[in-house]
Amino acid sequence: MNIGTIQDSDRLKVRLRGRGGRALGEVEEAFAATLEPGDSFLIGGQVVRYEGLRDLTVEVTKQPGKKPKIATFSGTKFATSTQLSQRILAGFQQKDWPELPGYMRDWIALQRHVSLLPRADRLLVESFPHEGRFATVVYGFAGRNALQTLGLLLSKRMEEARLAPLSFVATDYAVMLLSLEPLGDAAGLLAPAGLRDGLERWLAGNAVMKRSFRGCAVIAGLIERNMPGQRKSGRQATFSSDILYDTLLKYDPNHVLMQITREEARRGLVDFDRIEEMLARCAGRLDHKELDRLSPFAAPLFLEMGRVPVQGAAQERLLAEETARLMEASGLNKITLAPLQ
Amino acid sequence: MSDGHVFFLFGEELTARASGVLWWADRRILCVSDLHMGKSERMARRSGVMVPPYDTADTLLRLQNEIEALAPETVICLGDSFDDLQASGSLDPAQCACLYRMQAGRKWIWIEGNHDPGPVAFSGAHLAEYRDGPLVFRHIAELQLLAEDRAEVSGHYHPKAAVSVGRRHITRPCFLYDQHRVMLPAFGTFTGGLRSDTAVLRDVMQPGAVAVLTGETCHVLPMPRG
Repeated sequence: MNIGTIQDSDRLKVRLRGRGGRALGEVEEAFAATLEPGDSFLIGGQVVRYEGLRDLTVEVTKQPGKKPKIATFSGTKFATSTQLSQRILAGFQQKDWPELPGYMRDWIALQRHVSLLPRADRLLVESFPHEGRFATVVYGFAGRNALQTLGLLLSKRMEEARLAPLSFVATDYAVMLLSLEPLGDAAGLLAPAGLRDGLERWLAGNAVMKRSFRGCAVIAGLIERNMPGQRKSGRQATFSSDILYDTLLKYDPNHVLMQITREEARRGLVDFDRIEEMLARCAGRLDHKELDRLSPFAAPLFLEMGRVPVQGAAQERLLAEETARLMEASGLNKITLAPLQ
Repeated sequence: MSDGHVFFLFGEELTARASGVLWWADRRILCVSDLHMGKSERMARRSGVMVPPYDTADTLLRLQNEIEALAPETVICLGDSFDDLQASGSLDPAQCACLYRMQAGRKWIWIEGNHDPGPVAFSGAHLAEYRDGPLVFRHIAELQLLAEDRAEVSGHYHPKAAVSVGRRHITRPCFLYDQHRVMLPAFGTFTGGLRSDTAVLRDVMQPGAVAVLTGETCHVLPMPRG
């Protein structure tokens, strides 16, 4: 029986710097990619400072006493079942939660106090400013894959509404979008007709499809897997799978790899049925809470790995601002436009 | 799309276009570098790696858009136009026709590159370098400019530059220029890039050099040197 190919998630060894440095463990490649020299994280029971990447190994030094970043393992991404989601939502209706540990009771009670607790028959949307950006959180309780899709659709609709979305991140219970402009009309954004229409159009050319394509292309042997720290060596051609995806989409959209990618995405990453189920059970009943700061339930979303960047106006705007700032800071903006003779 | 970033090289007004071509409006010269046509074909031939073979068609299509937009009198291809000399014979009839149409009615100059160090199968002048006014067009930048070279236009290195915006790093192919030279990004669809903080680019480009990111629109910043 052939049950397909499963791609392992990439991990990198962590080792203390210096001759014969001790191996401390492994972190996910995606986590290593977010580290800058000087960052600290907890591994093997100690706080270490990230020094750099060498030969596919994360080199660290000991740094006791500093507050660490935490190494997260995203692991397998199975969605919670519908039943479990229902049980969690039903649980929120209790007055108190004596069966839960104290910190969780406090956390849920605080959410009820500053915002609302999500309900099965209503859709809770929160929006609040955060570090110069605007966050929109939709508590869909539809599982990670469906909410990932919802994140894509909403980011597309926010782009059309000129809210300049930057990125989104999905968990089993909510999706959070960050944008440069505040969300005004939550109901309009979540209108089912608009979402369905978006699904028809988004399939091509988006980050989730490209991620699926990368998996397919690696399994097919079309491209090699890239690891940070490895790129400098080796003269063999490395290819951006995104460029290959775009080229195939333009010139050969029915290529077998594209067919597989679409099928993979539909089965694994899209899960639109659960979005339909979510929209059906809420039937347009929507609570939009505009808060002045993040809510207890939104906080974990900021720690979640796997933020998906949105390519669009926001990126261009930030680039324009940052490059203008760099030109100004260097003084080059004053001299480069003058003819030199 | 904006028309690009205007700058001056030895008194000559040049435009770095968001598409990655250089436009010298006074002389109506369009300059493009590192097309690497036939790259997928060469990879398949040499290493058996079957990447989608649409890079040549896509490269030609994008070049055609720029030629239609600017109507240049002269087109200078700054070398590595073909991924190797054999690849220059790999264009299919439609691609050849596209190239012939672009060449019709204008001067066309193929500068030799390290990938295509000899005459190619297409018409046009085949030169090691080309001079016009104060500018010399060559494939690889000379580390020390010759006495007669007042300013240089080159390609070869496929420069790209990274900008950190918040936690995100955005990397795009870019032009690099200083008071004496401009280096073009690679135009070919399947061409990678060399980061501007690499030693060789830091050596070639003077302090005060500027990077122009290409893409949807141009973004101008001081050349990142790491």
